[in-house]
Amino acid sequence: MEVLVNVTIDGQQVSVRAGTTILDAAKQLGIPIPTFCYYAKLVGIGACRMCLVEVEKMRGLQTACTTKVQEGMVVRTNTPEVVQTRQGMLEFLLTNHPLDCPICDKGGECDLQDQVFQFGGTVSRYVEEKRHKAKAKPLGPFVMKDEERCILCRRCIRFLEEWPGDPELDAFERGRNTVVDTFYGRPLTSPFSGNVIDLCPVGALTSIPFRFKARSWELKRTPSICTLCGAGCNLTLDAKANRLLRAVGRENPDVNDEWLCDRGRFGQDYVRSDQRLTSPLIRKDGQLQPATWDEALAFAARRIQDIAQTANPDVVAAVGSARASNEANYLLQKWARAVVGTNNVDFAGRPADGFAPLSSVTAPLRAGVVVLLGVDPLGDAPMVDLWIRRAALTKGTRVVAIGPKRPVVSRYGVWLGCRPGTESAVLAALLHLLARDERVQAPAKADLAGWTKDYAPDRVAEATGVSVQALKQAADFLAAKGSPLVLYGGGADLSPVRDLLALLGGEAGYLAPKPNAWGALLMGVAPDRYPGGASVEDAKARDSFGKQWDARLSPRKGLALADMLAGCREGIVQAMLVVESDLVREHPAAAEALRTLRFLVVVDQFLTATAELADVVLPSAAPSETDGTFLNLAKRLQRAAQATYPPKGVRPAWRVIADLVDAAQGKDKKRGAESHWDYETAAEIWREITRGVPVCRECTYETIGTAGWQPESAAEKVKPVPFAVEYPVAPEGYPLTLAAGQALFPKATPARYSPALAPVLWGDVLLVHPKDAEGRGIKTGDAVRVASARGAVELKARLTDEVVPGCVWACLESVAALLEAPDKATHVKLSRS
Amino acid sequence: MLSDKAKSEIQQLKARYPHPNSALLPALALAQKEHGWLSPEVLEEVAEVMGLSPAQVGSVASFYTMFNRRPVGKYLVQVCTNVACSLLGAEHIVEHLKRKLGINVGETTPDGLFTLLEVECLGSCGTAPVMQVNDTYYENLTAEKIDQILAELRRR
Ligand code: SF4
Ligand code: SF4
Ligand code: FES
Ligand code: FES
Repeated sequence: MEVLVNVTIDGQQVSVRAGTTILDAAKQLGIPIPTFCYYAKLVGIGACRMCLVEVEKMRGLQTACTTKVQEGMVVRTNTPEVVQTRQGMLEFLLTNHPLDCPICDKGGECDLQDQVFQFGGTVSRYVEEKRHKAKAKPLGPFVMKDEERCILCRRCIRFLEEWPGDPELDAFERGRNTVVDTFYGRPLTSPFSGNVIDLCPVGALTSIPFRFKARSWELKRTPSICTLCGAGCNLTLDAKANRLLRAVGRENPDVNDEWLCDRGRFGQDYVRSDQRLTSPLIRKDGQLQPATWDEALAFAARRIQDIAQTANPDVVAAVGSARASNEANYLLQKWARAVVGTNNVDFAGRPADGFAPLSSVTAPLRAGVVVLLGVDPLGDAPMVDLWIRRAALTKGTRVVAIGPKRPVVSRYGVWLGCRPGTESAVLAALLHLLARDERVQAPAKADLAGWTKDYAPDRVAEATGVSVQALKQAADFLAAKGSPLVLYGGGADLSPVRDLLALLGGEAGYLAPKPNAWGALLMGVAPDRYPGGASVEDAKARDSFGKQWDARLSPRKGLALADMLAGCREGIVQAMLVVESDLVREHPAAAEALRTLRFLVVVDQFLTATAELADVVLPSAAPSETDGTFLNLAKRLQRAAQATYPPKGVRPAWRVIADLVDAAQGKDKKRGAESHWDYETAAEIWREITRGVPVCRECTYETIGTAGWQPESAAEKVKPVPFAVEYPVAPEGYPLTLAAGQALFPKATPARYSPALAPVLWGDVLLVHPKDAEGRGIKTGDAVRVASARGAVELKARLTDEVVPGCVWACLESVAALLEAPDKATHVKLSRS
Repeated sequence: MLSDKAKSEIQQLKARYPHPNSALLPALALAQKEHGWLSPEVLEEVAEVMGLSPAQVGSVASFYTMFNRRPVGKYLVQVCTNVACSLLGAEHIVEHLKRKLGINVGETTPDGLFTLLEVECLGSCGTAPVMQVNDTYYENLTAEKIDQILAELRRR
């Protein structure tokens, strides 16, 4: 029951929930009370005394930010005493403040400036020498500290403690000597460290990459989203003179609250990299050489047409991207289907059949236990990692991590370290225990007890390398807390996951590491589906899209990406258009396959490993340089808005595709009014998309707005299914298993081109368990050679118990060439090179 | 490094309070007793045992002046320079000690025997001027008395 209390503030009455602070009650009345240390999303500590107000019958002034209202309370926020006290507090703060506003990055958006202006006195009586402390002391690669400017509000300290649970900052010494610092000045390592820059009310913590780049009032501010992972955090992109200079968090309680990870905050500057492509390239005499757009487009269009005509349209393939917008992906499949006449369209990282999105990026808050099935959210979707930490810290949520590499968040629970490929067996052992646990009440129990009888913990432990004790602990968390949230990655086997949900309820979702995997799929970038999901074999759908696109559409299913690549070598695929996808760095055997093509066109922002193989390269704009929509890992539809113009000579991918069509139809041919390729803006493409894709029908750029839009999704009822576990068998000569994943700062496109992330990018490193290193004479830092049946690469070894014995781990982009499939652990051998 | 005994004592201390973090002060005292001062390594070990971050432990250690964050001599000489002691000549006491030991306030003699510090009120104003050497108070100090005390300590 909600208890309401009546209070009077400055003569106005209001009734608020019991437990509300005076500050919040005043807010409801629109009465401003100045604050410094108060921050709605952090625990209140009443440290700065800026918010003092008068409360009848209470002695002395009270802090509005921590004092709870009581029935009949009479508060005054602007009596002469309060006004004078505020002036006094501010005068005190200023005696110790360097007042270097003219050279302070915070100038113009500084709470201290604003409040002194509004509530402070006009002169200072302090004429002595001010205290001096460290200035410009870096706390790691991103955060610069100026100790003189700090007003000791402790927001930075509290954030790191209360959200990511990385209490790396604290106040040292005392009295006037107090400074906020890390332990002996060590660099900050929290993946979410950059948030303290936004939180700091003054210029004590500023951004190293943004330092001295602009004054805050010169910035053009564009509400947009981050496109560096599947979370789709909301942010504001700040640009000056068409240069994107910084990203700051933007509030959206359903996605990122208002936080950003350091990848997203600092990585956006890849658009300013000097490696950006700014001119089309055509391969001449074996070399990629600059060409004009007209030349390149005409050449590309003619070659593709020729190849399709001499053979048939199905020798052409189109590869879209989970990195590209809906608009670009939609046009790409439309090009393949309506212009070329093939269903050979796909993209890397397409969610498999049966995969489901998360209900929300914030789903961990509603889970009793977060089960990480072979994924590490810190690499795949850092914001999900933050929500797991927050859930663990505020709700006691536990983490059960299953997989060969230990995720950081397993500190809130247990890591079931198992050999790669045995995750399902570990899950089976958990089901075995749960089906025999009296705390679990579910009709499926009896079935599961039967199906899992062969997966007793001790047997599974032996086969997988996991410890029996850890299994029991994990099962105990699950039985005690219930409602699991299972997060899985690309190659996951979903049967045991369904069984877990059948026993305990909860939800499961695919942790899509790229910003638009669900969008590309919805746009029909799949060999068997049109935009909206109708099958290409469905005659009605074919008819309707055929009419809309004014073309005869092929009724044959196209090739999936793996088959396209396999088909390259056999001449089944001879020409390919790849849009914003660095296949070579993420798909095994892509390099080999693409080399055998007769003709390859790559559209991207950089000369990626894939673009290097192309016959024509067309430079495209980054998401912050055009408009577009993205569907995040919870299928939330959000807009990435244009913050700057693309560099000269660069066009948005959607326009490149439309131009390619124009070029094919002869560039002299005036486009008729009925042309289906006559788009002036991305919004026009979106309008066309909504006509063919029922779920988006009601959505316009205006209704998506800056907050995004999420369609209602009905929870499915899960039925338990029996499943069989296959234990991987190592072939002769390949004793170890290689697992690949993503790092927080991956060397993947586009993060690898970010100047700000350069110092922290994950190198070509191989994690090796000390036990496996021993016999081979490998030490940390040694160059090692990992070889699978497909090939070999050289990496730098790092010895760590973060991986299980028998398993080595590397970033996908370093070892893609060795894998059997992008999500499949692969048998390898390891030696010192 | 922190002995196993100290570690298990800290574990026991934690159990004594409603919130285990409250054991931090006694834990630091224990660590200092064992090592004479709180090095970064020792602070990290205490953090580990306490389940806190090094920053949180370092913060508390640096707040209290009685935790030494630099190595100190065998004898830690702390002279009160607060009001009562100052009125009765604490300044001269400090000067005398500086001369006799050949060091400044905050320094340690090269033989590692003495560290000299100025501190606030030692709560013994009635017998000012006062200094504390390790756990012992020396009261109603004069220059002669100090000479005796130093000679005595050197002999030990
Ligand atoms: S550094 Fe900034 S956020 Fe941290 S305590 Fe100082 S003023 Fe507050
Ligand atoms: S969590 Fe993902 S979307 Fe959010 S800021 Fe980081 S990289 Fe960007
Ligand atoms: S805002 Fe209330 S004490 Fe700081
Ligand atoms: S002033 Fe020296 S003991 Fe009190």
